Amino acid sequence: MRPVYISGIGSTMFGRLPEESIESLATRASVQAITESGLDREQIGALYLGNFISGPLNGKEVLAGIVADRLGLPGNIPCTKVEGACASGGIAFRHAWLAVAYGMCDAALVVGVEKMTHASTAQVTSALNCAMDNELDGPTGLTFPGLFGLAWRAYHQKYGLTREQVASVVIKNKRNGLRNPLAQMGAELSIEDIAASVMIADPLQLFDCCPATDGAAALLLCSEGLRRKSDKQSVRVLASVQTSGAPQIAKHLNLCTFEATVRAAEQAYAMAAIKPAQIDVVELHDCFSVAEIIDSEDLGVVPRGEGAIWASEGRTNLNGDVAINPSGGLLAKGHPVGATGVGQIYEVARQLRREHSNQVAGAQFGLTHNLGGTGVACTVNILGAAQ
Amino acid sequence: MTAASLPMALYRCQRCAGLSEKPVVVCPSCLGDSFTVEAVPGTGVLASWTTIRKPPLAFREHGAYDVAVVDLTAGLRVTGRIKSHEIQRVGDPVVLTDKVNIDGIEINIFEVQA
Repeated sequence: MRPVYISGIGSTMFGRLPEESIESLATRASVQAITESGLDREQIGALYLGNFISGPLNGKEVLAGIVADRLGLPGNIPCTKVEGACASGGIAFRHAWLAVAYGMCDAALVVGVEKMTHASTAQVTSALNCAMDNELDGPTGLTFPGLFGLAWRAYHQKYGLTREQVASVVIKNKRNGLRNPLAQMGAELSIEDIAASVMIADPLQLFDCCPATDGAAALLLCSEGLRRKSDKQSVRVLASVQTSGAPQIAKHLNLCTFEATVRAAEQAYAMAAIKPAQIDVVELHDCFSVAEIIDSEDLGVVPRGEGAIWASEGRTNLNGDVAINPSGGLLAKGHPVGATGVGQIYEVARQLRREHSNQVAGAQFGLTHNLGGTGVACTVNILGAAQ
Repeated sequence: MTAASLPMALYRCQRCAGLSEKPVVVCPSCLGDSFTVEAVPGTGVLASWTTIRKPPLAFREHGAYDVAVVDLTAGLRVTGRIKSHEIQRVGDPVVLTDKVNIDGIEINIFEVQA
């Protein structure tokens, strides 16, 4: 296995982008990444595209080959669309990393994309429910907000959890989003605003839920040899891990944790040879407010049972013990499902290049966490500032 | 008032005795492919519950409804619907009181036991 670098990054705005097709979004982000890397298109040996629901919501598939065609990539290179529900982007990244790390090619393009905002809430909910075990959980009428409503109550029973504590996650991420020019819905919110919002899946309310989003993000990965031709500071991939977990709610015997996240994080720290306490910045999968509390514990950056306490005490703020979701996270930056995992890496790369609009001072190590379905698919990546 | 409990039919692997809620091709524990249908008491405790207020298209006619995770006394965790108006907390005892067929799939309806 050889070192892999992120030598170019690109992203569209995350938000409501009705004028852009899904192919255009992916192409636009990819052009930025390729251009920034300084590489010629002929040097790109593979494309991995993360996407979840372009079929049900846009009636479009084989997006990897279509986007490669739009970009004029060299003919006949392998172009692969990757699907793992909300972890599609993270899995696409890991496959591109594998291709470069193990010498299948010297440069690989990864792009994540989704287009959702033209569809109704019921249509989006139905499309997202494709990621459920529809022989067991789906028939009950369970939804993904519902899963995290279940998790909230189970967590409350085990550790205690107040509306105010969970709201502190929303307030932090929405505030961070205000300072991210790519974010869909940054806001200055009060606990009263959050507590007054409509109930979605008790006790989850509207502001506890990430929005539907259009957007794309792209990364150009390369080997050491090609990195030297880049004129931008690159970022090194220290670990990239993918795990799987139970696809059914009933097989999660503890609703306060996701086994796939715990195992991915353990493996990632071992691969990178660093400890959780060394992580300066985390972009994790806060699809719902309570998910950030659970994820922060599963990743080992916050002690078990203290995620809500750390959030409410400001210890996960930009200048806290560990900065969690300075981008605004899924709650504020938005959740274009297949793009999210790639967008998280884009954000951490900007942090490690010391150019983020919400810069974490002195950031050396960053972690991204992308979780799909009921915890059925997970990726954790650790990135480091390149020397 | 104590609601009457219906029995639940589970699938027990003849090789390793593992339980499944629904028919499966093979037992995920041992890959055994032979099962017996076993009636177990429809009793258990509430592991968690939520009220779905924004249903997917297929359930839009149902309005708001309550979904629960239940740990059966028989030793299997299952999901189902629950009549929630009497729920006090996670850990409440529940019983299976009804089954409804939605699009050919049988859904368990639980109630909190007084």
